[in-house]
Amino acid sequence: MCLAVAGKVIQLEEHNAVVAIEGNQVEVTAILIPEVKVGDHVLVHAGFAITIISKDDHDAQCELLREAEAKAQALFGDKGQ
Amino acid sequence: MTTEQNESQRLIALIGKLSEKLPGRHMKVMEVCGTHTVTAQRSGLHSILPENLRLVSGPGCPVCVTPAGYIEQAVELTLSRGAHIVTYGDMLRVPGLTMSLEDARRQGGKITVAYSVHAALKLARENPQEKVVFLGIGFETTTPPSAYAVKVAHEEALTNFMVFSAHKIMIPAMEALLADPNLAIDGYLAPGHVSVIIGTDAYKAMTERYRRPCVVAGFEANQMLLGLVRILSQIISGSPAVESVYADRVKAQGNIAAQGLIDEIFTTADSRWRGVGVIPGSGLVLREAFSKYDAKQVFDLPDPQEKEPAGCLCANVIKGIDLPTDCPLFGKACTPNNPVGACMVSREGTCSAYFKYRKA
Amino acid sequence: MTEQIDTIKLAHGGGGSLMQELIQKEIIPVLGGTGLNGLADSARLDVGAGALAFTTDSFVVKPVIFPGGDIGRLAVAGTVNDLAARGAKPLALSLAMIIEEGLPMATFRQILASVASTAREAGVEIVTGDTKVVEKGEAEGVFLTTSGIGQMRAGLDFGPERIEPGDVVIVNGTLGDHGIAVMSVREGLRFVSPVKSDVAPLAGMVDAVLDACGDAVKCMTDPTRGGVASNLNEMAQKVGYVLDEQTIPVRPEVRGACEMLGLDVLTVANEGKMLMVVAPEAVDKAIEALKGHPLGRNAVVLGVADGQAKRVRIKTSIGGERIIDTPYGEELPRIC
Repeated sequence: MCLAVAGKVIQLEEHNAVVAIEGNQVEVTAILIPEVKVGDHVLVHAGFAITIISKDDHDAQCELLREAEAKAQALFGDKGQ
Repeated sequence: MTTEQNESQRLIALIGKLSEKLPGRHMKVMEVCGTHTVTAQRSGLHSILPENLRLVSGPGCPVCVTPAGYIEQAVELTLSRGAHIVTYGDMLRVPGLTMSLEDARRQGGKITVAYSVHAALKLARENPQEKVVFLGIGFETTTPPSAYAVKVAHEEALTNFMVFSAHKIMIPAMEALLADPNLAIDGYLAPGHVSVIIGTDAYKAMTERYRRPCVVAGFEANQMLLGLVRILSQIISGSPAVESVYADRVKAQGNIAAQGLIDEIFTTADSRWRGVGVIPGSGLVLREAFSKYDAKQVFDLPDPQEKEPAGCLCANVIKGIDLPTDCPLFGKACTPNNPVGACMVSREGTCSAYFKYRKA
Repeated sequence: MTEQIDTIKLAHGGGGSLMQELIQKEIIPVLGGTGLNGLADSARLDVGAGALAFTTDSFVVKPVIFPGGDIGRLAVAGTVNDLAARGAKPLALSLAMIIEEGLPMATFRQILASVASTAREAGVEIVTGDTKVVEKGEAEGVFLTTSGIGQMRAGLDFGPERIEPGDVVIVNGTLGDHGIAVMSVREGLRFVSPVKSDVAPLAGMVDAVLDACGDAVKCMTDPTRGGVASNLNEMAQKVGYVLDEQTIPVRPEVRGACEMLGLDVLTVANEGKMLMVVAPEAVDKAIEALKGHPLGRNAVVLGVADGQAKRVRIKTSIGGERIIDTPYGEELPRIC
């Protein structure tokens, strides 16, 4: 229901941020994430940053996959494929 | 093979193995969010799921659940009452009771398509003689921008800016669907970006009451597959719970600042969902203190009426009872070029996604 | 519910299926002759010994000056490319201008200079023209119409009827650059993009490929409004096509902008791209010829024709397959 894309904050003045999204510079309102700093990665929806993405986001996604696999394997009662 | 494809294959194999642990059981998992619907269709997800696992689409396309009567009111606001309507592109072609906003523009209506609410504020500032009405549609993700705009208008004493709210909140609708015995939903793939705002804790009471898995997932096909792995695992182990596979983008308590902003400007009210009917406490209306910025109050508009076109199954499609292909109009009288029902208009509408990304 | 076309919708000009409907239901029945019925980018006129290609196009773009070009360059390149798509060497162009009163003279001069330089680049002259000025509000800055004639190569013609399963679709570079460049400077979008329009006259580049491959080139078309989705569907009468999501040539900036605005890059406009369908044995030669030209340096194989007539499909990254339809009209930025 809500498209959102990730980008990096490269300028910040009060709640007005400029976010780099794949080389494009997008003016974004950052009022929803008051703790944001220049250099943070954020998720942008309809001109608003809605959350900060942590640096290890990608690793975290991979970790979730490994965890889910381990939990599922436990349901089969064995370790192998 | 790319890492992504490798991951897909691992996940698909895992889903296959898990579904074998549930022989004879037909599971219906609902993806609540329209963006999930689009991902599923774009990636051909349905074609690779095991036979006893069905993924059905839910009421999470804001365009699709906005009543036709609301669009009709927006049309009237510009054609009869001189308002300048500013809307997200998503709404432009949705049929109202008599016409769409695009039709109204051809009849001389003032309608501006915007990517963000900032454009509406700018228009109001630069054209003090215009009455600028921003169409506030969507769920918790899309509401903070509308709330922000009202706050800014209030601070700037911008008297010609209004929001016409059709904003809705997700959980009452999800609960209403779980309570409907005709639907028999086995689990929710919960919307990633709504959850960024409301947090996983928001689903706890519902999950405890109905004992159905509720897994928040991102919008890549693999993230959806991962969500399904967790839902199946929960079903097998008999321990339904709320969890997120969208990494730490989704916090337990959600985005507090966004929730605060919504709460400052809006309050809940009963709301009509196209195809579903009125769901108590599922809508957001402007608080009394901001009535000057509420198009509904300024123009004294009644609650929107609803009348579905004959033969259209949108109501059942939105609830996941029928597939688009069950509808006699689908692909014949109703196509993306000539939409009859709302589900065909929005790109993320279930019917449109089925039509556009139908299996080759 | 079948809708009567009672008034013109913006989407009727969007290069999508609605525009096809307008052409097929309203224009062809009234104006159709043998040349127009073919609906090729240029018509073929047999005159004496040789054959001429003849084409016309109107140009409206907001704003009239955009990153990487302006309406003047667009008007020349657009018509040159329609001739090139028929394998014709451009001979002469006409230029008609409808100008809105109040257009800054500097803008007007810049557009004219751009017409001149693009024509030089394409090796063609503007030989006739017309100018009208209308009241403020009756046009958007300036509208241009160019018509062009070109000399067709003896013994060579191109068309979708020549395409066979196994033929390969080549494109001379990245997709969506023009559409995103223009969108990035539209009011209200609040983003700055390094993406420049790809607008360029392609006759020279096409010439190089035809020199190298001759009639192994089956069909050519320039994917402007409606993007490659629209053109591939137009060329999918006898055959179908299959593309691979992983190998679609897209700049990261364009991909990012498309994701943000909810657009499918396959439906975004190009103004300096040519889709060339070539026989499989000529693919390497065609790509080599393209890469030898500055406008074809990023040439790649976009897809392959197969026997599934009228079905344009794309292989997705998780191994699924989906259909690519002709878009409805110009796609709008969305939040969903």
